[in-house]
Amino acid sequence: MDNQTQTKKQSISLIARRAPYGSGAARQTLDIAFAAAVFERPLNYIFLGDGVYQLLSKQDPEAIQNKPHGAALETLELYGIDEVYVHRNSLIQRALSEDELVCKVTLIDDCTLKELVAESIHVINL
Amino acid sequence: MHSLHIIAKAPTATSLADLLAVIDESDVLIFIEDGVYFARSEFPCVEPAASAPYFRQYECYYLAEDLAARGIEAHDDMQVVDTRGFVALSARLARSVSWY
Amino acid sequence: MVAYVIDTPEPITVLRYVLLINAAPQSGEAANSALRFAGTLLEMGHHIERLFFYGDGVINASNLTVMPQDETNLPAVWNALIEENGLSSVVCVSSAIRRGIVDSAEARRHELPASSCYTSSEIGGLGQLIEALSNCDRTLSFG
Repeated sequence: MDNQTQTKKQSISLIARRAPYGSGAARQTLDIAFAAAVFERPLNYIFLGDGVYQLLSKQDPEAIQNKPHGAALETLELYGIDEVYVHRNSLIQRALSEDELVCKVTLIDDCTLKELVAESIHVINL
Repeated sequence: MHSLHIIAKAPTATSLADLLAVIDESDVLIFIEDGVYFARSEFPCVEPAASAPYFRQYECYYLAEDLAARGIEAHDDMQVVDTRGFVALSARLARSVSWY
Repeated sequence: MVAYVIDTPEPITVLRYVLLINAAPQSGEAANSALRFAGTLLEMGHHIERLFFYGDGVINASNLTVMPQDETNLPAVWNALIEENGLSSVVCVSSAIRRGIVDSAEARRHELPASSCYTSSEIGGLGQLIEALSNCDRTLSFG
């Protein structure tokens, strides 16, 4: 690849759309986020729909032999992943509030969500 | 720049709230796999937003191979493409968003 | 968007694609959709920067699947497509070892009795997905 391609701004949006534990999608999305962070690629981490359940602070999955997903999401900031967005309506529809979440997030409406997607080069929706 | 949304699950297995929060009015939709059942989702048991008439406000395509496999005929005013058409759409739109 | 036009009588814009395959051949139509899409992409003159098999998608690289004669052995067809076209194909290591998809090196490392991954695919990390995303024009996910 030539230099021009290498320095081109890359923007990846990850949309986390599924609840943790019920499927592997939440963990798979997180692993992609960590990998992008290691390679210092700009990343939007967007929680939408049932994906907002991933952020609940009181998860204790020890008895179901799982690692706590919320605790892993708490470490996002340490990896330099600070573009973390939560779809406001998804919280409201599930009777959840921002103070039940594990980390500081930016609440977004539909309009901002569409903009984030439209500004991304790649979107991975899991 | 607009997106190509690839919808691969049946109307009853697709989260419309999620989908509608992301798709923009100028985006393009292609229905593949069980997503082609959206072509015939004009039944009272499907919520209005999941019905084919609702999606007519978007530029929509249905994948020919998946329609044929399932014995589903698209209405005359629906656009049907084969996999070559699917590839062409993916090249035309700046990015894709998969829904499965 | 980086695109270039090749010099042919009918110039086409060649785009570089990454395909993320996230479903096993046995779990539905998605792996088959991805395979048809990949084959058609190449027929139409586009370039596949990388196939990345993730989650249950790693089963597509299994060289131990056996199908009844009247059914398609998807892993075998993937293998042929990858070999014939010299494609870069990466199987996510953390997904793979959890599902018993190992190459001979992983089999040795974990003291397993056999390897189970077609050698046309490489067992690798998510970094190879991220790297490929930086070098491509389009990403499509199938799952």
